[in-house]
This record gives sequence, C-alpha cells and structure tokens, in this order.
Amino acid sequence: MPELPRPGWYPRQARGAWLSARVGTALGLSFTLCFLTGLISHLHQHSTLLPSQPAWGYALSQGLHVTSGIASIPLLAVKLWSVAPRFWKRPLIGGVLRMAERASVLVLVASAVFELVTGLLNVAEVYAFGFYFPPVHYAVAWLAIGAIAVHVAVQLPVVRRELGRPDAEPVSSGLGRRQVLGLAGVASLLAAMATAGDKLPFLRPLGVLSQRSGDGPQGVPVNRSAAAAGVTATDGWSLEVVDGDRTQSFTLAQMAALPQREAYLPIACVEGWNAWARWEGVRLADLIDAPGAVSLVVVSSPDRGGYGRSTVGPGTLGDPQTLLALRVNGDALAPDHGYPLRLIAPNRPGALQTKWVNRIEVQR
Amino acid sequence: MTNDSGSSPSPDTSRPPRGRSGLSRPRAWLGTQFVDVTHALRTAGRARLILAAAGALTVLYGGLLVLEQVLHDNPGPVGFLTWWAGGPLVVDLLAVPVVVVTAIGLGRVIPAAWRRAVESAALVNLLLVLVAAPFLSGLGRRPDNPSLLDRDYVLGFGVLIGLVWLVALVPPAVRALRARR
Repeated sequence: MPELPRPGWYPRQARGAWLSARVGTALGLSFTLCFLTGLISHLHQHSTLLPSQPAWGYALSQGLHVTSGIASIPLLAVKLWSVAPRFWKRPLIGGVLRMAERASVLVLVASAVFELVTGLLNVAEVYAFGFYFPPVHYAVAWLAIGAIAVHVAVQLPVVRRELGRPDAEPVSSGLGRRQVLGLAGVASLLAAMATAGDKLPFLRPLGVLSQRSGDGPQGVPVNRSAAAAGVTATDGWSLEVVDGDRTQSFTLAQMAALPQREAYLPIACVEGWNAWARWEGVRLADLIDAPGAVSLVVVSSPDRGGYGRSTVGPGTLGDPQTLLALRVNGDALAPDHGYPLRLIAPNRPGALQTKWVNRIEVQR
Repeated sequence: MTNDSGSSPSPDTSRPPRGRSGLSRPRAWLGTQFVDVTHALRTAGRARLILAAAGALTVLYGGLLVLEQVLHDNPGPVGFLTWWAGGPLVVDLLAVPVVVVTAIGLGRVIPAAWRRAVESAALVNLLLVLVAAPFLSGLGRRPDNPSLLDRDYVLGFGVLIGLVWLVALVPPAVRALRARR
C-alpha cells in the first residue's frame, strides 16, 4: 500500500502559520459580521420584534450579509490552502485531545464551506442543492460560528505569536506568503465590488457579477413574477378586510378614492440587492378601526407559494410609511410588481412586501 | 492545541508502557488521555475555556437545528452529508492537490523574471472564478423574469480578468524591454 501524504510533501513557500493567522483573523471578522446580519434577517422573517425604521435598515444589513459572505470566499480558499498540509499531520487520529481538535476543525471547514457555497448558489439562484435553503443555511450558521469560537480558543496563542512576528523566511522567485496575503485581500475586495453593483448605485458600472443590473418594469427589478405566482386574471378584484366577525370589501375604484399617501422606500431583497422607488397608495392603518389595539395583521394574496402572505406587527402598522400601494414611480403597478395592490413598508425584506394583495386579516 | 511549530505536547508521541495483563494497556492509555486533557484544561486559561465551552454549546444547538431539518427530509441524511462533508473532502483530496501540482508545474515552465507576476494573476483569477462560476453558468436564469441575472456576465467578468492579467504582467514586461536595450 502506498504511503499516505505527509505535510512535508507540500511546498512550504506561500503558506504557513504567519499567513493562516492573518487570513484567519480577517475571516473571523467577516464571518462574525455575516452571522450577525444573518440573525437580523432571520428575525425579520420569523418575528415582528424589529423596529420599522430606519427604512434602509434591511437594505444595509442584508447587503452587508451577502457582501461579507462573498468577500469571505477568496479568504476561505486561501486559508484552506494555507493550512492544507495539516490534514495529513501525524498522528492521523491520535488521542482524545487530538480527536476533539480534529472533529472541531472538520465541523468548522465543512460548515464554513457549506455556508459560503449554498449562500453563493442562492444569490445566483442556482438551486443545485435541492433543499429549501433558509432553514438549512440558518442551522449550519450556528455550527459554523460555534466551531469558529472553539477554533479561536484553541489557536489563540498561535494567532497572538504570529501576529507579533514579521515574515522572516526568505522566498524564491515565486509567490511568498506576504504576496498571497495581499492577493487574497485584492481578490476579496474585487469580489465584493463586482457583486455589489445591485446594492450601491455608484458601483453599478463595475458590478460585473451583480445579480441585477437594476432594470425592471417601472425601473424596479422583480423577484417573483405574476406568471410564477400564478396570478394572471385580476378582473373583478376586490380587497377583503376581515376584522373579527366583520368583513369589509373594497373595489379598486374605492381604494383609489381613499386618501393617497406617498413613500420613498426600497425593495430590499434577501438576495442582497435593493431598489428604491416612489410608492403611492393607502396607509394600511387607515383601513383598520382603532389600529393601536391591533396585535397582528395578516396580509395575503392568491399566490400559493411560500411568500404569498406575510404578517405586519404593531410597530410597522403604526409607521406612516406602511402602505398598500396602488402606484409606483407615477404609474399603476405592473403585473410583476403586484397589480392591483401590494404591501410596501420600511425596513422589511422584499419577500415580505406581499404582492397581489386581496385580503387582510386583523388580529387583536 | 496543536500548531505548525509543534510547541505543545502531542498526546500520542509517548506510548503507554506494555503491561503483562490485557487490561493494563487500555487502562494506561486512558490514564495518559486523562493526564493530557486535565493538563490542557489547567493551562488553557479561563477566557479560552469559556470561549471553547460557549462554542461547543453553540455547535450542539446548530446540530439540533440540522437534525430537525434532516428529520423533515430537508434534505435527508445522505443529501445533507453530501453537501456538508463534501466540502472538506473536495478541498483536501482534490482542490488543494490540483493547485499544488499546477503551481509546481507553472514554477518549472515560467522564467524566473515572470514567475511572481504570472502566479499573482493566476491566483487572483482562480479566487475570482470561485465567486463568478454560478453567475457565468447562467443556470439561475428564468424565462418569466427578465430582470433576474440580466447582465452579460461572461463579457463583464472577461474584462475584469483581462485587467487583472494586464496589471500583473505590465511591470515584468517593461522590465524585460528595458533589459533588452
């Protein structure tokens, strides 16, 4: 049987503890930012705890989530390159301590790679993994951040020693670890810049890998089309407002006759992009008697997909910018933007800005 | 608690002594493990121990969340292990060896004066391809939604990579021209 590889088989130049400590520190920071902004997104999706302002809150936090994740990809690749020989370090299995450390590194590498790969594929909408993305990405995020904490605890003395030490070893004509560190930073910044063109308008021309150009019907991109939602015929549409045992019904003409308000708000997608628009419509609170006493409003549409309904908490309901919009950028909503009526509220994931709204249910 | 310089004691370098009875070997091994673990716990310092314990508890919580998904078949155990354990296997058994062999090959073929520039551009190129691949594939496009993935990714990324190679190769090219004069 041929001998298994040994750490010494790998070329020593352009890797090592000096590089690992520095890239690892950068990765620790980017993963922490990514984890915290991911938690914010999770809270938005599963609770009504978060405040309704600032209006740009979710655009910022989710933009940071996606961008810090993408910027981590080159860093993680270089980190794995730097520590790769340790995979073959003897003893391969060893005693209890060594096994525990190996297991924690396995959880770390597997979870970190998993999060970045599935997150990237989700942003590119390549659903190769065949499972429902959000709960699995969320679960493995806890594995990753926990394993990072264990790894930092184990390696802290090494990191301290290496960060205080210059890169003294001589280097031949090829790349040294100092150059690899710089190039990892360059690649990380280029990746962030190339994918952030749909988050920051001034980066649009440089955003060669951005999910969106920013174009779309009425100047706003679309995530779920009317065709995908199966909402094609809207003749005879009316809005039902169910409040206890009382049900009111509004036709489109009646909605247009109510006081119209205006709000300049973004669609801020969970995939990271945002697009601001001028929305006009009826304040959600104006349709409800005594809105101050409401605990929850369920807004729903004929879309039977996962995002055909959403809930509005008291904070968002009380915000004057929370509208049931009839118009965007001066025109009636395009079918793909939810004609005839959609919810638009500040500091809220785009998936919860329910389109094609035909029913609201008040819970007190 | 291991590192490249091997400053911390490795638990398995000292073999437990061979005993006469069959029981004494595993007992001695257990004893060594106990000594190693208690030594590590005593010397780690409180901050590191708290961080490690908090991390381990967090991993446990994540494991329960994963288990919940696996029990709901989202995905099943095989699907999850494929995507989760597949990462380290691909990295350690495929990606890194391929990069090492390629780097050694490049180092032999390319003249010394050009080596660092070519390796720099190749490295940045490779790292950016990791991010770009799913966009370049176009697999996420959907006919009902023309505003999704609506850029020419191959052209834009081609220009970006072209600039990377240009910036990397111009300095050695200038040096080579000067040396020829």
